[in-house]
Amino acid sequence: MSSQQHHRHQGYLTKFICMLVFLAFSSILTLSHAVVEMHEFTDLEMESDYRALIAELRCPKCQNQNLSDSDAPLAKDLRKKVFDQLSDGKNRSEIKQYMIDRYGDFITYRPPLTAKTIVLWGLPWLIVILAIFIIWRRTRAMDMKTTLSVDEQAALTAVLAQNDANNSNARMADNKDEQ
Amino acid sequence: MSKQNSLPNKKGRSKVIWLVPLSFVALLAILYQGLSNDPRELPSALVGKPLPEFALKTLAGQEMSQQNIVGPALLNVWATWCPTCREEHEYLNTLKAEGVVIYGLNYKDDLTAAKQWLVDLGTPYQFTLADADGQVGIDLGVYGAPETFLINARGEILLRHAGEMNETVWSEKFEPIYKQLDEVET
Repeated sequence: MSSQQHHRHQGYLTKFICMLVFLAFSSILTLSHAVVEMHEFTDLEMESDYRALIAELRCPKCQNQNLSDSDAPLAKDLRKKVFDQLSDGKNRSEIKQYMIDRYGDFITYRPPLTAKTIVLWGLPWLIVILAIFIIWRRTRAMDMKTTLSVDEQAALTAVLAQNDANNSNARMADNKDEQ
Repeated sequence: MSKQNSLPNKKGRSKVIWLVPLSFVALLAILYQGLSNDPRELPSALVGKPLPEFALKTLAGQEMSQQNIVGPALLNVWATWCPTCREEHEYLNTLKAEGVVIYGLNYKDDLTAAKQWLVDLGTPYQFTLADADGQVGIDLGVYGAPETFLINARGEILLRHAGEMNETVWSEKFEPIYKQLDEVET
């Protein structure tokens, strides 16, 4: 191996190490963004309930963040509220209802079925069904048009025959003019 | 038969065809209107419900409960860390001078700073509840300061406004309902 080649290899190695170091640091930085709070869970079920609730509940102060993602002081208070209520033995739906009673359906990312949400979720399906119905009606109407009744077929033949006759007459007239 | 059928059918269809651009325009209008909505304005879950039960001390140290808030009155949630609260404070003083009863809820704040604030800027409140840990705030569905609630004589929340209280908000949102309350009372 020539010394030049050796040098180039070293360059690649330095670059590679630099990249590794950069990646390691950037992952540390990302980690430090996550909310770290110490909670003493009595059992695994309580912990999974806690995680599910803070993922499903939205921070009212933030526009689109759940409680687990938000650094807002209110989100911290509400996480504590969730934890305290779980410690008191409340179940998931009770805690969810507690939050909805205070902050409205806005607080949950899974709002219940109400008149408003039915319109929101049902209207697209209604439009699709309506569109399919209209397309079906129109294609059926077009199919019906292509087949003629016996009377119509007879009338058509008559019209075409008349047309042919007219045309040939006209041609004869033209020929006469030219002559 | 086909002749009889096809005629009204065609007419009906041409009317239906018009519905398509019409509903499209209607949809656009609804969506366009939605652009001017403030996404920070949340629907309030507590309107029409009684004030939550609480036991809090005032800044002066007196024990108070929800029964000490006698409507028709305003309940104003404020804090010294909130710049908009400073902006609306002068208008709250004006309202008090006009005879509107206002109660204060000092939300997640430093009590010394809160007391000093009232000395410096004047006190529009009958009394100010100190909700240092924000628990009553959660019960009220508070998600920021300032917020102002309109309470009737039965202690029910009639109106909730998140954001600055000023002349426009008062005269357009609060006064029409407040006036009716006053008339019923007297």
